[in-house]
Amino acid sequence: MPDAVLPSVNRPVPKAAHNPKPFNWLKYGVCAGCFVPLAMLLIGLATGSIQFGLELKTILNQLGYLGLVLILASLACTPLRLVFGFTWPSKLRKSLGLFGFMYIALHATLYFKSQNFSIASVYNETVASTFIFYGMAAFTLLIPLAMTSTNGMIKRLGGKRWQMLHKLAYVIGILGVVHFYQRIKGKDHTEPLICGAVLAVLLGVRVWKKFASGKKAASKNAAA
Amino acid sequence: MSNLPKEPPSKEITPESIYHGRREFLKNAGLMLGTAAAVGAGLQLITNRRTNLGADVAVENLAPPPAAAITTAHTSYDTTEAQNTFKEITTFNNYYEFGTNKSDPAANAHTLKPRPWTVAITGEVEKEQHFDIDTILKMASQEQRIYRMRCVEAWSMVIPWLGIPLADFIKQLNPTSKAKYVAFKTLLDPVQMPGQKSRNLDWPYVEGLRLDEAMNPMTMLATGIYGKALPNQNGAPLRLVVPWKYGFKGIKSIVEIRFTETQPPTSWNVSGPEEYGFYANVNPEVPHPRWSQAMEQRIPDASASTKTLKFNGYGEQVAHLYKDMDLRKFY
Repeated sequence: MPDAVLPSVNRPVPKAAHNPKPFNWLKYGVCAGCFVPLAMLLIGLATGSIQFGLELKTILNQLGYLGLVLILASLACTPLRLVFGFTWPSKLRKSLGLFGFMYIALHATLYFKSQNFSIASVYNETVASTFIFYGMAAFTLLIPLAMTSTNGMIKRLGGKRWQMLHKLAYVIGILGVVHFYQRIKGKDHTEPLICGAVLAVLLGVRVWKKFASGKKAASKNAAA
Repeated sequence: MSNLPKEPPSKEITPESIYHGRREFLKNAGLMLGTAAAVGAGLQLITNRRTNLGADVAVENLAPPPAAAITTAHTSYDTTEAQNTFKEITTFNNYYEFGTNKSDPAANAHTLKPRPWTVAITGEVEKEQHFDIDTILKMASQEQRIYRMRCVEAWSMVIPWLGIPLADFIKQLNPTSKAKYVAFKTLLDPVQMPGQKSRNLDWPYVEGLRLDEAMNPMTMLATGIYGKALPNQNGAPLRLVVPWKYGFKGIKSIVEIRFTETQPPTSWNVSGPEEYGFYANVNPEVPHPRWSQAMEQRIPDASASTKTLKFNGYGEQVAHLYKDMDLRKFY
């Protein structure tokens, strides 16, 4: 009675119990969470609890801050692996970077709107003040990184070149922190200083690891 | 062929992968939602979005300031531009003594007690003395003046102030011949003004004018808006209004007026001398180091679509005060 042993030969073999590629709840959760501030902003604007004209500067500041925080978070993924051996943050790096770009793009768009989409006035402000210049530079540099974020582009560019290009993220982080620091009116620079300290640690870890591995390689070479 | 019972139609059978995966699915969904909530809440928290604009100030609940006489007839200084609403004027404020967000003063200024209130007159005057605020309000007739207000941050409003011309008050104080400047000081009291616990500025806030600027008929000590007493967040009970200068010159909740021989220190100038000058005349030709001053956002517009005017459009009244001065140097 082979039929009784194998009641349905045609049915697929159950796979879910030992799925080779488990559902990436972390990544999808982080992505959904990254949409929360945008959703709250849109809900606020739609219901009228946030008045666009009155809160333009506040919204601008918040979008910029969100973008910077997410870019710093994406820059934290590699150091977490280098120092603690965590590999899970690396799966979030691209998403965090792209969400950072999304908020910075919204931040820049709102700034352009506040300037009435006048190219002349944006140009004048960019050349007149380092504050706008650094922000604009960071936004501009983010564009090629966002455009080359896909696996296809990594292949097309080649890993080495892609990595070189994406080292621009360090420059963007520095520009972003300086831009944030310059925005503060008054003396309370706590927030940009915290961002700056975080960025310094994240870049410092990379330098330290590179230096350490370089030394190791050098001593190996010397031994050989 | 088979003695097994007939199977239900295949579409009613839960696919085995799902049957086995449902626990996995619930677990994953839970973890994902938890992560989303944590990340979302975290991002909301750090950006500290304040949707609470504070209690709306009901216009009808505010009494008009006590006064000998109130003239509401339009003066030649009044602008005919659309006035900002009471709500806009009272919920969009820069008043760091109550927080640095525009909505903070409306939410926090209830701790300020504008009565009883005394203003000290000191320095180069015939007689140093103290005045009760209600005495000051009766020393000159109060007028309504509809002025543009241009903030150094490139936004602006049109506000119907109520107040007394500063010159009318100063004339009764008899400043000495040594008096060349007038210095103003805000209340220093971190209990009433919780923002003074932060180190955003050196407290108390101080401002100053040249004596001829102070005596210009446009300069006023404001006591109200829209015919009602000044709400706390707008600088109750007495604030300075100098419409051709950036808004930060309009010091709020004044407790001392001092006549001096030399130029007095002013808060924003001390905080950022490259960015905020003593004169701070509205001038589209002199950009702030961090932004252009050519355009302004007229609240509640969503963009800076209004051209900024030199001396905020009051050149006819005040340009002569600066006729031999380089306004790029004395910004």
